[in-house]
Amino acid sequence: MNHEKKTPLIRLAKRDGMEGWKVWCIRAGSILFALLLGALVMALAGANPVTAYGTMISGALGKKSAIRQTVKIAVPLLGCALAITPCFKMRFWNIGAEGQITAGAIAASYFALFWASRLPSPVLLVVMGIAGALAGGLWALIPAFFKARWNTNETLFTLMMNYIVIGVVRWLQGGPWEGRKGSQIIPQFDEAACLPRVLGVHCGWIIVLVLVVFMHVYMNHTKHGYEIAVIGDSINTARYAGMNVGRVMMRTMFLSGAISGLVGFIVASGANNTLYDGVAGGVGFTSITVAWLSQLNAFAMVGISGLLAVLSKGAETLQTRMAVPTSISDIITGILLFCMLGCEFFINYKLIFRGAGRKEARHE
Amino acid sequence: MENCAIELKGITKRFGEVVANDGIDLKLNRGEILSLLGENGSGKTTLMNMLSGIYFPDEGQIFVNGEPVSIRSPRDAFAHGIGMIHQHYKLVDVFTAAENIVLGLEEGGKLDIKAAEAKVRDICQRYGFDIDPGQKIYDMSVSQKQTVEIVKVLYRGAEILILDEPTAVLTPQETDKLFDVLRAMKADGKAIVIITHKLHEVMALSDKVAVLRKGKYIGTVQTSETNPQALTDMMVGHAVTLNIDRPRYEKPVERLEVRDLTVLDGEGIKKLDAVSFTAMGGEILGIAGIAGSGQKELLEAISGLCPVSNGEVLYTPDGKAPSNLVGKTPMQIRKAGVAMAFVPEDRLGMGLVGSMGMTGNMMLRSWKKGRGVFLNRKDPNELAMRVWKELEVVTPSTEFPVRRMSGGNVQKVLVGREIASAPSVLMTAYAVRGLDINTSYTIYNLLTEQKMKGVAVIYVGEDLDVLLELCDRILVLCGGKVSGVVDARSATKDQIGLLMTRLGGKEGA
Amino acid sequence: MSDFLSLFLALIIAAITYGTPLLFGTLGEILTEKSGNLNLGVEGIMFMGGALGLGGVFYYEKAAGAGANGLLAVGIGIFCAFLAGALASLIFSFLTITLRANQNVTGLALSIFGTGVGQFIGEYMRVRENGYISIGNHLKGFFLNSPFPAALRKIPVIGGVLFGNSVFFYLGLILAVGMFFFLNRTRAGLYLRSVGESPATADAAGIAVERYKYLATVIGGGISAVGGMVYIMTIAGCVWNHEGLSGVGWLAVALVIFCMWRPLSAIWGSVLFGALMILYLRLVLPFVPTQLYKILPYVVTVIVLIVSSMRNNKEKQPPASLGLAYFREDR
Repeated sequence: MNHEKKTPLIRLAKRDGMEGWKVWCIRAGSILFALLLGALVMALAGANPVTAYGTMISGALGKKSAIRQTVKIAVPLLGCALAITPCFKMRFWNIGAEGQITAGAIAASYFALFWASRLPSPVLLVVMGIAGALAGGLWALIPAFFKARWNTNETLFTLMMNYIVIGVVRWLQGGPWEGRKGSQIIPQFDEAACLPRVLGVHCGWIIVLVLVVFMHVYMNHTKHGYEIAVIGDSINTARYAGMNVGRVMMRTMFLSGAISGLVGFIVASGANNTLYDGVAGGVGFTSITVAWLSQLNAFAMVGISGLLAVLSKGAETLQTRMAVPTSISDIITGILLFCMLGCEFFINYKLIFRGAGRKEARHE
Repeated sequence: MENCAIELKGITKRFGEVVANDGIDLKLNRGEILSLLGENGSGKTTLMNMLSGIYFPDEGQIFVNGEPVSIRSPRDAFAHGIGMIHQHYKLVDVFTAAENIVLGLEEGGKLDIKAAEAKVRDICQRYGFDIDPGQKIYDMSVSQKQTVEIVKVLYRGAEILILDEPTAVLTPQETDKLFDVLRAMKADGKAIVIITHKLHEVMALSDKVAVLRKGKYIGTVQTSETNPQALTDMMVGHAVTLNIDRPRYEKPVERLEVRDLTVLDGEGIKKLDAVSFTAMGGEILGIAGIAGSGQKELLEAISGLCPVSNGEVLYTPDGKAPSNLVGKTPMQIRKAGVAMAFVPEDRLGMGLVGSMGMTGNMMLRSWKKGRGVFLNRKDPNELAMRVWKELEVVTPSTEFPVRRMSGGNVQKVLVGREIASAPSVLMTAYAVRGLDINTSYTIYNLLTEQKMKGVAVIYVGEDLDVLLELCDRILVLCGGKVSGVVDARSATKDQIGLLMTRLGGKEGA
Repeated sequence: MSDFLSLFLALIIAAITYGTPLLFGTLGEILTEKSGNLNLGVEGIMFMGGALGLGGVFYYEKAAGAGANGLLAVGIGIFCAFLAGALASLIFSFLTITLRANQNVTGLALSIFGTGVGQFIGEYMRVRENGYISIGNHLKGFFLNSPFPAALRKIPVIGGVLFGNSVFFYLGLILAVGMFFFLNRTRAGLYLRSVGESPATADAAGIAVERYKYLATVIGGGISAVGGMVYIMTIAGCVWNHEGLSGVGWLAVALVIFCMWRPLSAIWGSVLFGALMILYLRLVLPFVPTQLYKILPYVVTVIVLIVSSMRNNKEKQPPASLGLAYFREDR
């Protein structure tokens, strides 16, 4: 009788696989759209968007020194996104990378501060790296253990763990590891504890690129990666296949935390040459969005972390040259993330307008 | 005419090519209880879902109180005084009964929970329900939750109640109580439809019985004028010849012996009650029973997926001494050669990884094989290619996610994989669920092939005709107990139908 | 002994001051999470609320000059902050409810975006106004001082604690009690909770799941943002101070867990967290490094989280569908 009224104007249907090129067109389109919105923001702030973007690009990629700075920003983002990948593939929402970086940085700094004179530089660096990875891994293992044992909410748990370990750094800064009394600053590392430079940037970038390949192989070609993928899809099926879900969970979180911890070591030793409470500086959070937007594809993460690094470095230049606050990069990054998150919807669903697709059987 | 609560005329519903309901007529008066009887898959629930607004009929007309109506949503159904109590309860665990009952009603902004509780108590008193409106759902037993669902429907003023297999989850005592309540409602002038396949309940409760078989309406009889035997005949029909090839294996050997197997569910209710039987290599053992009689638990217990509270499963591999499988991990049991292919209602979720292709799913059995950390993709891929070719799976490639394949193809992947593991015991459940005839035959032939290789095949099925022609012996489960084991070559459909509903069967085994 | 008492009372008053922004942040997030949405963007939302609230009051004072009305200024501050938070949450809602994006990731993106916007506006105003944004002492008083007459405040011992706090604390109290009544005593509150517990059940009962989620998240975001404004206008002394504000939003998220999604517990919870934030200034114990006090709120939250999952008490749990998207066709 009143069929028309009952059919909603727009209905949604899950889309069955879109061609690859279309998917990437939509994603590229969303980035373009975000940059347009960003231009609007800049115009509102009184800067000419064209010159502003130009300044940002030349500021981030124009000179060798600028490129080095940009790479320096991209390294921890990429490293951490890789760390998060296995957790998110398993649908274990680890948002504690921020803390795991910091934990790794603390452990690495311990050796940098107190063992620098006793060990030759290469050995010291290896020890720092291992210590960082172990500390990050163990820090991540705590929430994983409670998740596996009592199903404690991992999102909230990992989130809280961030601030605990950052608080520990503040204590170290003002207490036991303080350099000059009252400075609230930990002294600079000895030269031996700093990562050597390759092509002008600390060699952390090489480590991270190796990690890209490692993570790709780990996720796609190892038994561990397979277990992670099956658990992420269906825990029942995983049990049926004889997998020990709790153990895989803890192992994967340890690995994830270890990589984050390694990133913490790279940042402390390579970029800052010291430890301070902002060692993670939001990287742990931003990298989650990097990992998610890359569809957990290790190679795509290189591109997206690069893009965010360009934005961030460009914004610094923008401030010095055009007096636009650096925080513009966070705004544009945010807009970019929103657009890319939103565009996935159009890849996974199709809209059916009233009147079209009448032939389809109604089923709910 | 005036007394007629519901009338259905020529209702037809198709899902794709499957005709779930084919021109069904039904009539129900006020103050009457109608049993809707039929085997699994006969279309009972689909038919009632059209009354409650979940589906819309393709053809036919529904009349409520003699008026032609169009029911397009659960809201429409409520507006016409129709309320359905589904098998899966929709309740918020941390709310009280009364809070759940008023959920979604539009009666002004202030929540007068006291008034609602009073009204609930009123309804309870009128029909003899026994629930506390202030009690939280998580503290309630299954039967109390069911009561809340029924009260919810009555609270909304339903005059016509439909209950989908309400006794499936109840103990005999709870069932008796429910029936008393239903009789009280009937005396109050309500029209009640109860979907069931338990004959003794039909006889005990209803005024009329309508029988469906394979989507077709067989007829309506007065309960007083019929008997279980006649109803069984209507329900199962005459045996249909399917011409499934059934060779005999020369020398069956004992492969699996189950002794006094007992399984409890999370709430301590017996799902399997001292089940004992033997499965022979070179034989297909059919397992028949109405849905939820313990089939799933039986297979899961044997394959180590659900805890066993008592009993043992003795497994004798070729040329080895028997060993007890109870207490072993699923992995150990599978490695020993006991394979299971269980097709759940949603097809995926148990045994298959939806987001992966055929290769990834073949790997589910072999991923741990080989030394080292790397995954062996070559063998699973070859296996996937073989299954793809031999079982004629329709898929663009072996990497195409199984979630996007059609149901029949998904099942071929599942069954194909289990067979490929060369098991000595192969258990399948609902292997042909939702498949067309040709594909079903492919699966029957595969199973028979396995049998002729000396494998002990256990086949849990729904269609009695198939069980009778495919299997060598049939074990009938009823309420978690073995109600009989028959020779499939000589047994009749009636005989099994009666065992399924315990009529004529021995209690226990 | 009386020294100790006065010290203690001073601590409580300071704890209330520091707890009030948290109270708003937490109440907003409770409302949001009751609908099943886990909005991790509270940090960003509070930044936006702080910057826009300050901006609103500043430009109002600039426009009105000496005749500025204090109550109106407070209203404008609340309004601007609420609007900022509501808009930010609208983005979150649109992405997660309509476009079905992952809640964790979207929340973090909002957190980045919001801190950026707050920081940008704060900086931008400072640059435009040649260095310093500040509110006149007359208006400041309305934000900082107690709304009660001096007589009440002078009551010995309890006067200061009960009546000496800023107006926002009392507003927060009213809001907490109001939210308790809304969630537990009204039909809409019951329906909202059902959406957060089991959207499929709510949907089957004919409740407009998406509308409830949208409304709860947008209003909740607005309330959280007011907390950011309160921080800037009371603790930071009406000056943009992003360093002080950073972390408050995350603390509010922690407090939601600590008080187990109950608005009334949020009152004492926020005072407790406020006390923990400033305890290092007041209570110096030997062998306990002062900096470690600051991690106590997070530590107790983790303990609460662990204990509640171990005891598995049905009542003391997150809303059952928290963080999960609901699509009807997935039924």
